[in-house]
Amino acid sequence: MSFIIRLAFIVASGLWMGYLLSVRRLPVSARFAVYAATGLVTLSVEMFLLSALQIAWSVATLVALPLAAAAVSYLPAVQRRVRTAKFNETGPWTPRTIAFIVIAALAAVVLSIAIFAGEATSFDLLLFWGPKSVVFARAHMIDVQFLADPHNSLMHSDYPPLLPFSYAWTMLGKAGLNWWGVIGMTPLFLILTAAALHGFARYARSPMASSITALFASLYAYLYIVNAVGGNGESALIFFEALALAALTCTRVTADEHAVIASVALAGAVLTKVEGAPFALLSLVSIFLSDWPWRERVRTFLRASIGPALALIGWISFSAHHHLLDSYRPLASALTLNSTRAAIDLVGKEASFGIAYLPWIVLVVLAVIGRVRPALPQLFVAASSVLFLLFVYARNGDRDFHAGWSAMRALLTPLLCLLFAALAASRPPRLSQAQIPAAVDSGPGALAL
Amino acid sequence: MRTNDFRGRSDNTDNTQLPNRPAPRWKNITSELLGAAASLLFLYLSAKEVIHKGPVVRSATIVSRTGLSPRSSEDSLLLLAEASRTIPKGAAVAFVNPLDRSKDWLHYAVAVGQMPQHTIVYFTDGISDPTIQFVITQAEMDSSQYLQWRELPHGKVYQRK
Repeated sequence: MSFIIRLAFIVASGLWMGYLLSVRRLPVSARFAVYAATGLVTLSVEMFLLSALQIAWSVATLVALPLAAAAVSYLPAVQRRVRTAKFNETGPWTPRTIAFIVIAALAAVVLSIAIFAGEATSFDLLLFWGPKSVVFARAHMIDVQFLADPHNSLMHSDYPPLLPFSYAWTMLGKAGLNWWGVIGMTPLFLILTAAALHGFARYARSPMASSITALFASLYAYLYIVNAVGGNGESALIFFEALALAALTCTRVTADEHAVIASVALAGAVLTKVEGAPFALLSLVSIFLSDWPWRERVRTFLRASIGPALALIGWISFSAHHHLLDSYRPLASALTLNSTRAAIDLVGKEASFGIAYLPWIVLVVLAVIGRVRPALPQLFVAASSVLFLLFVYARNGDRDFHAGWSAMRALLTPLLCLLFAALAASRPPRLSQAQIPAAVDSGPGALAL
Repeated sequence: MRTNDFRGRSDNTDNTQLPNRPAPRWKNITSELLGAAASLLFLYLSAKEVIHKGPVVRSATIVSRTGLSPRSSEDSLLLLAEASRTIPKGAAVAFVNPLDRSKDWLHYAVAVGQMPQHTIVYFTDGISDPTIQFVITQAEMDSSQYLQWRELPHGKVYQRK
C-alpha cells in the first residue's frame, strides 16, 4: 500500500504542469501521462540537485516543493478550466473506440500476468538497477564512492539516474526495496504510454487514435514479455519517448504548442537511459523536417531542447566531476566496412524479433495510409535511430555479445517512431488561425509557455 | 495575415496556406482494419507466450520463471532472503558459490540489492579477506577459517572463526 502511495506522490509531483494551458487542453488520459512524466522528472531533478549539494534525501524534502508548486499553480488553472473546456472537444467514444481500448486493456492485463508470474523480469534489475537503487536509498543520495569502486563497474557509474532514483524514492525510510512493486511498474509504464498516445492522438483528432493505441499496447506487451524487460529501463524510456513524440506530433494550432511537454519528456528520456540522449537529439533535429513555417520550427526546437540539454549537461558534468564517466566515453574501436557489415547482419537478425519481422507490420499500416509528408519527422527519427544503432554496434569490439543482449530492445525505439509516423499520416489538417477559438485564454497561465 | 494565436500572442503565420490534406477515408479505414488485425495477433502471441511457460501462478520470487536457469535464480533469491533474516543486521557478508567462482561478480551484485540491511563485501581475496564476517553459499564450503553457522533451506551460512 505504501508503495502505491509513493507512486501516487510521483504523479502529484507533476501536477504543477497543470498550470500550462496546453496541458489543460488535453484529454484526461494524456494529462495524467504528462503529470506522471513530469513527476518522475521533477523528483529526479530534486534528488540529483540534493545529491550534488550533498544534502540527504528525505520524503518530506522531496515532496514539499513539487506539492507546493502544484497547489499554487493549480488554483488559477481550475478557475480557467471552464473557458478552455470547449477547445477540449475530441469527439465521442464510439463502440469501435471502446473495442480498441478493450484490446489495449487486455494487453496490459496479459503483461501484468506475465510480470507477476515472474516470467518477464529483467536480470538487469537484479544486477544493476535494483542494487543501485538500494545503495542510493540507504545513503539518502547518490553514493559516489560506491559507483567509483572498481568492484561495482557492473553498475555503470555514469548511467542515467532516473530509474534508480524512482526506485530509491519508493524505498526511502523502508527496510528494503519492494521488488514486486518495482517490476509492477513495467505494465504501469505501458498503460501510461498508451494513455499518452491515445490522449494526444484524440487531441490531434486522428481517426486512428484508438486503433494505433491498441496496436501499440498489444505489440509492446508482447515485446516486453519476450524481451523480459520487467523492472529495467525500456518501458520507462519508451514512455518518455512516446510522450515526446506525441507532444511534437499531435499539435493543433502551433508547432510549439506542446514544446514544454516535449522538453520534459526528452529530459526524462535522457535521464532514463544512455540511448535517450541520441533519441532526444534526433527528435529535436526532426522538428526542422515538419511542415510548419520555419519560424515555428525554430521556436519549437529552442523550447523543446532546454530540458534535454540541461539534463545531459548536468548529469555528464556531475559524472565528470566525480570521475565516474564510463558509458558516455567515446568508443575506441574504428568503423570499418567489415564491422559495418557485421553490425547490419546482427541488427538485421535481431530485427525479426523472433517472429518473422511481424512487428514491422506498422510500416504496412503507414504505407496504406500513404501520406509520407506529414510523417517525415517521425520517419527520420526511426531511420536515424537504426543508423545510430548500426554505428554503435559497428564500433563495438564485442558486438556479437552486445547486439545479442540489447539490439532487440534498442529496436523498440524506431518501431515506436513508425507508430507515430502512422499517427501523423492519419491525422487531419491542422486548424487554421480562423478556426481557433478567439483568445481562449489571455490570463497569466496563457503566458506560461 | 496577422492574427492573435490562442495564447493571445501576435503571430503573422497563416496556417491555412500549409499543404496539408487529409488521407482519404477508405485508406484510414483499411489501415485501421489492418491495425485491428495486428493488435489481435499480438494479443494472442502475448497470451501464448505467458501460457507457454506453464500454469500461471504467483511465483516465489520475481525471477522464478525468467531466464535460462530460473530454478537456480529462484534458489539464490530465497537463500538471500533467508540469510537476511538470520544474519545480524549490519554484518559484513559475502555471497559466493564455491563450485563456480567465475560468477563472484554476479553473486555480489545480486546480494547488494537483496540484503540492504547488511554490508555486502566483494569476495576479492577469497575467504582470506578479514573483513568478511559471514559467507553465504549454496554448496558446501571447505575452509579452515570459517565454521558452518546455519543450515538454511536453500543453502548454508558460514561464520569466521
